[in-house]
Amino acid sequence: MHTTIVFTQLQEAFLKHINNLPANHGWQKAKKEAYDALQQLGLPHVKTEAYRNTPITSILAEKFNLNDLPVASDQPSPEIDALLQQTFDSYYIVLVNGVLSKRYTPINLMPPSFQIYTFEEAYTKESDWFMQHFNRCTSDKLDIFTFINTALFREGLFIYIPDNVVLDKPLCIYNITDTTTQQSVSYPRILIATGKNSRLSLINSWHTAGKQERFTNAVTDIIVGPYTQLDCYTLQTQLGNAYQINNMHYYQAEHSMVNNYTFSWDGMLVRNNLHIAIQAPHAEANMYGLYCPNNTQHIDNHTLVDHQQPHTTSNELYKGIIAGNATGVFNGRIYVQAEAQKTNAFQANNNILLSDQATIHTKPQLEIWADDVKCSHGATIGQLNEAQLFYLQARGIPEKLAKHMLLEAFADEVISKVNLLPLQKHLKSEFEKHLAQLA
Amino acid sequence: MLIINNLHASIEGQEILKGINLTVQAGEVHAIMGPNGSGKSTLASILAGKPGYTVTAGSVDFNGQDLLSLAPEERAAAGLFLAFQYPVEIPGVSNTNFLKTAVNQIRKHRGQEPLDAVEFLKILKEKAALVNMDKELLHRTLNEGFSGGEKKRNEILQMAMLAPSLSILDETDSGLDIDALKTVASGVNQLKTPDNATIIITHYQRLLDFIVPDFVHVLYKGKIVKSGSKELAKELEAKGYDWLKEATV
Repeated sequence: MHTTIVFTQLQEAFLKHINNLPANHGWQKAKKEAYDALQQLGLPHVKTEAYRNTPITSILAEKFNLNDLPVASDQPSPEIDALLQQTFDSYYIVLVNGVLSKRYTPINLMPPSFQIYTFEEAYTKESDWFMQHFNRCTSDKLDIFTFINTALFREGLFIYIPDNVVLDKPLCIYNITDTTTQQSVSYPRILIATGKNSRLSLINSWHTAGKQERFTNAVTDIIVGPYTQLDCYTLQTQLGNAYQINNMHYYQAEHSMVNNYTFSWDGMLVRNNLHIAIQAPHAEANMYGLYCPNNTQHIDNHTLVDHQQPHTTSNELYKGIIAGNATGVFNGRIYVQAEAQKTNAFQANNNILLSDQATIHTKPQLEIWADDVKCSHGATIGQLNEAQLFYLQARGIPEKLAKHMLLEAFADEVISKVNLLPLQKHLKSEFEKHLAQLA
Repeated sequence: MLIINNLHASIEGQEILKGINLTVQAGEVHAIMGPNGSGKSTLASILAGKPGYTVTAGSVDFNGQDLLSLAPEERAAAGLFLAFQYPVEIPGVSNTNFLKTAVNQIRKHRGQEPLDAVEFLKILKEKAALVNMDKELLHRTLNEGFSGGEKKRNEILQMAMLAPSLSILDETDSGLDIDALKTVASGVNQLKTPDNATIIITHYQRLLDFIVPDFVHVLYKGKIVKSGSKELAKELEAKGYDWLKEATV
């Protein structure tokens, strides 16, 4: 029943949306195809394996009206002002409800090598060039919510980084859900393409302004050029009452390297669909995650690394601390295609449950079609180590502080992997603040 | 300083300590010896406040306080220190940070100002020399990958930093070669003052050659069956424990 309600709402939204688009838009075809895929695949229901532990459709049906269309809003907001005060030394872009904020984005301060457009602008400037990138971002393993985003996104953001660019500062994208507007849903859409031999650190920082509950279904596609290194940090540490599905897809060329980091400890519900397609030899992907839901929060990380070519490497370390009545979900899929000989793929997922009511669902999934590969995976679920706790207490350290020291040590294995030192410091202090809220 | 009165304790319903009586005064060194399974380590654990044990009868008075009602960290702040038989490895917590946190938490508990980094490092350097502690070990994570000897020296370093009034050394000699044993013993001896006391728990007389006890007690089946001077330890070394076992039957 829930699937019918949500599906009907999405149908209404799509019809309104597509009628507003000029027919000549390059991505109108893509939107129609995505809508067809949605009709074919249907929304997740209770028996859908990928959403077995995250009943997203019933939550959407109960809380949100999905026949809403995203509305552009670029009003002054004290919350956004405050947020930008705490920014790192970075180039930054502000998106409000998925739409580029001209008010808050200092576009003239960007380095000249950078090219930033709305999809509209990029298409008008050079339609073939833009569509070539847009169309490259497909896979047979995409999640249904990517299709919903494609069908319904209002304005996309396209960032192009040419060959041989090494940025002196990270690029920070503030994705803000402004809940003071009437709309209840938004569909941010970002496409980033890098050339050869470049190096870039990207911070994808998610925020909520206002207290209302809102649903965000975002897609970020990243094309990583040959010999390029990209470090990307997704911060879901100030989400407020957000419900978020975050679909991130990488398409990696030869000798490229991706370090993807996901830090999640805020928001009502978070589902991350991380999808890395290693499409050429000698490319490497590292995935790090730290998730710490508390109260009734629900944080779900579904990751998929698709080794398509030989001599590729992936490494994955996700750690979870689950407190209160919260739920964590981890599903790590490693897919090694028949051509992808000499693949190295490693995965680990470690969890600490802090209460009897906390839940973790963890599932490694290896599908290996090549015969000369090295793959391993391991998952652990435990509690704080009592012997360690007693040792610290026996040295005069109060129980609460001793617990925090052990949890910080547990999390540090992930946080210390952050290459940007100011960000590492920021995350440590944010994590400490989060710990202080735990019992 | 420490008065243990008729202490009975059990773990998972099984009685391990069956009426321990022991009094330790400032300035004294007591050795508690006994065969495996006699309850030596249980006694040490209960004094330090390790969870899992049930005290079924008796009391422990530590400098006028009811020791058994205190949390482990409060016992540490009150001046009790347990050198662990098996020091725990804690990956991700640096040895130096751990020591600094411990020292300052205890100072805080006693109403003293925390040490700043400079003062702390000065004292740390001084105390590390006492147990021949390699500087590099101070920067490593706590006990992780330390050898048996390094872990025990680290215990004595912690003891030196926290300056307890009562130290309980639980099988500190186990797993040590003779050189490490001498280093550890000399560290303990240098920390000895007329105001503090030490309880040494050990199987063997060997450690007592280096740390000379004022009193030796033999624990057997959860009771102190014999007490004496340091000569008792020599007698035990020569005759084993069997003659005492027969005597108690």
